[in-house]
Amino acid sequence: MRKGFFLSLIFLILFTSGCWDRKEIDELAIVGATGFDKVTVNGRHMYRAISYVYKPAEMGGGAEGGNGKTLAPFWVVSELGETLSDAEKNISARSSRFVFLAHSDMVIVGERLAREDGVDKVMDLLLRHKDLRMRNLLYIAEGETLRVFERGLPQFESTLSQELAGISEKSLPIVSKTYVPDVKEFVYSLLATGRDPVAGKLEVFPTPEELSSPVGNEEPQSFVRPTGAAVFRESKLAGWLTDTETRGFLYVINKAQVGIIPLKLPNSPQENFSFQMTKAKTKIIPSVKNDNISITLEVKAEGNVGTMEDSVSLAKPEDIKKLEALVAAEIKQLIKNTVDKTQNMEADVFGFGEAVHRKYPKVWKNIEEEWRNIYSDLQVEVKVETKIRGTGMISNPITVESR
Amino acid sequence: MLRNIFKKLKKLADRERPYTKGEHLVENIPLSTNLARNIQHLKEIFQDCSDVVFREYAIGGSKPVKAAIFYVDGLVNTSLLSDAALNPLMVDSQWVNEFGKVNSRNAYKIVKDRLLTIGEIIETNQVNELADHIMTGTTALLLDGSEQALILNTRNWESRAVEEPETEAVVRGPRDGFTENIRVNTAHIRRRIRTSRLKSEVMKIGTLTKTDVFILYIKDIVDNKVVEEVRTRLSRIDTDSILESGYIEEFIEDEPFTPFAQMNVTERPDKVAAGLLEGQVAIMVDNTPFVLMVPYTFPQFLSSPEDHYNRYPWATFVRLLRIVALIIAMLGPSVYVAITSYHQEMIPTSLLISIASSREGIPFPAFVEAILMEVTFEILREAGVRLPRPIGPAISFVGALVIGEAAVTAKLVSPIMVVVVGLTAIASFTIPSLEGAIAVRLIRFPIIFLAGALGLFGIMVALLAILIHLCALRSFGVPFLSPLAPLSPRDLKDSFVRFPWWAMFTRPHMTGSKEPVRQGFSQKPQTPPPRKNGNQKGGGKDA
Repeated sequence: MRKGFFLSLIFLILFTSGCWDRKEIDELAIVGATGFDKVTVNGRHMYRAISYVYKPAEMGGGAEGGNGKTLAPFWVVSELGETLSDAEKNISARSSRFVFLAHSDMVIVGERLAREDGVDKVMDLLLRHKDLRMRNLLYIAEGETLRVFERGLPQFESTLSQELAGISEKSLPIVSKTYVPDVKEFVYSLLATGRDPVAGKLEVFPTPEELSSPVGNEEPQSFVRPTGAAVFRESKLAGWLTDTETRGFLYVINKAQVGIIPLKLPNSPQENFSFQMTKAKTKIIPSVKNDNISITLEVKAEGNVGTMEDSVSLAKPEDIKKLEALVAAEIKQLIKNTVDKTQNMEADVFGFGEAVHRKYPKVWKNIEEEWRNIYSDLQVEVKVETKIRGTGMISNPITVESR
Repeated sequence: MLRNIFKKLKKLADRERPYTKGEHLVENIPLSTNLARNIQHLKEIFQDCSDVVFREYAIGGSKPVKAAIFYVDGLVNTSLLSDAALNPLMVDSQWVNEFGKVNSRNAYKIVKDRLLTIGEIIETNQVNELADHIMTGTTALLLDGSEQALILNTRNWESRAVEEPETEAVVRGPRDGFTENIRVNTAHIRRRIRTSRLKSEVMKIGTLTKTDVFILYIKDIVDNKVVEEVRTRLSRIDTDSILESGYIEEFIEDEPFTPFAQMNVTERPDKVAAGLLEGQVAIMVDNTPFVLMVPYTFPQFLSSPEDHYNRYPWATFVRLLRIVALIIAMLGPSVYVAITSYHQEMIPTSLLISIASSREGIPFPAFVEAILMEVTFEILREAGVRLPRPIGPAISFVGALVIGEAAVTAKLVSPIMVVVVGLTAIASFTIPSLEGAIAVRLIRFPIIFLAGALGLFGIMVALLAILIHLCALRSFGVPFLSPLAPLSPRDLKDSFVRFPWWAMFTRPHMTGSKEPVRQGFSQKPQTPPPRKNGNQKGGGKDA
């Protein structure tokens, strides 16, 4: 009898305390991307949070709309708030369903917020929030984030966040021109000593200026694409890297994968040879001599002949050797350019400081405070060794003999 | 307060309880030498039994001796009766010299030794025993002037032909199944195991039904303690009727409060034979094709006799497949409910969106939806069993389709729920053990409740509870989870995987340890050395 009493108590526990955090899937507003901006409203600085919410009913798979008209499969909702968290919570007040951030693919931060306040606030929110995952990609929007969401129309997928997630996943390993870290990587570089973080960059194209002269009567459309990267000095945005500069950056941080490097052969007015990158490995070797710190970058790059648009023979090993030297010089130039630019920004995105810290911890203790100054005129020597492994399916270029 | 309510309820229940079992003890009367008195006794016993046939006749020539037979019409082979018992007594007895001198004093001996041309006879001098025997289909022969009566085995009743068992169909393997006739059933086993070491002990259980219950085992393979345990548990049963082996199962199982059966139930003779050879004990009950096998362990839960006939790679694959199916059958709807209502972050985004779009406009929470569909499915399944055979399957499948389809179009349930429930239903039918499938189907519901209340945590709680329960279960003293817990590695060869026959040398440790080795070692087939071309010419090299 006592047994029965306790059993009934257990059942009471189940049906009184259970279910308290139960949320049905159709009660969720599934957020695909999250954005933050800094705005000035009536002279006051406020923050804006933006959620890009999926509308499953419009995304196919479900029953077809009875009335025949197709609605956009997403909903962009933004709210203002005194703090980032306040703004983010205010979105819930606008939504008929629970705002569910666990499926967010990316976080987009506006340029002004990143430049003036720094992204450390955003990172604090992201890491503290129970739903947001560290796997979110981190983008810095050129201009305002809201514009990205409102103007950026998806072209292939049905929603922008899916499209951007797909592009981001593929652009790095296949093109090697952009760099997009996830929140975890970004926070790691943000907190590491002797390293400054880099985030992805989003731009809306065509720009408003280009759009101001519409062609014909067509409604102007604009789209979003990731380009280059955003460079930070500590937590604040310091500047942008272009696509080619980003490639130099990728070479140094060992992330350069597959991509095409166009080259000019000697005595050619324009690029007529392309090197197909396959593999690259870089060693960062710091050295301290008489208080003089310098960095040596040893790059080993491998690749194939992508195209040869000139009638240069590729049959002999000597021919290949010549090309290899050419490619090595080009890669060296790429890296040099990037290093110069970041030295001007005083942003040690490569983690040279970290390398020094690892190899000469005692030296680092003394120079840690003034590392930024040291970095900006640091001696960086680049040594590139290139190997052309193959010429593709054919060896010699196609030559059409004129008769 | 709750305690008081319980007390009152108990009192109420107690008030109804005290009645005693009806005892109809018939006085034990010995037979007398006076035939008329004996006939009178038996007639009193069989009063109003219209199927009991009584016939009086005379034996011998000049001074005939009176005789009488009793039998139950329909249970005896009448042509055998007339050929073997009536004809020689009434006709042949006149022509033999010796029988001329037949009188009431020597009649019994002459009839028994010289005249009855029938195989099995039993002698008795008790009226009650005689009456009991008549009820089993024998014929009672009473002679004037004798205190002994002869019981002639003329049993022969109509029984169903041997058919393929419907509950345990196989693709490869024998197609015969047990019938309701226990003699046919024991013959099935004897035909498979032709050794005198196969013993079958008989017991009569049920004060009214007096059902024959056979205990089958192979001597010196079986663990004697298990046989002794079966005997004592069976003899402890005190009931008026045993109509099916299910009656016995519930009287003799180790743990009554559990959804899991602790006895294997089968109507396949090959399965019983295989079990006996592994040291199990079979309990056969008259009037049912379902035979009980003990001890029952978890590997049998997932094994079909076919696994031993098919090639071992395939058998292994199928067994692993059944484990997957078991997990789906047990956890399918509950995992769906738990994940969709508590752990949406676990679903890949695109799947989440497609679930969300299919759930758009569904009025019920996933938990209610799951219960609704599961109950509907069980109703359809039950209806399919009850419906008249020809329309049964058609109605149940069409019903399932129509109800599933219509429910989705009416936006009562989401299409994904129909998929989950359908998959679960199909998976639950892959469990070969009849009782096992029932248990799995039953425990699915509490797990759905726990999943609906506590999410995946609830499922883990349920799984742990089931695991602890299974660890505690025993079947006639043998742990249910053996050979997993306690572990006996050698027996794992025939559990979740099946090793080839030539690699399984031993019987299961728990049941067959008395004679563990069942076959010779190193019987792995060997390829003969390659034949040389010149062999044919030079022939007779070995000779």
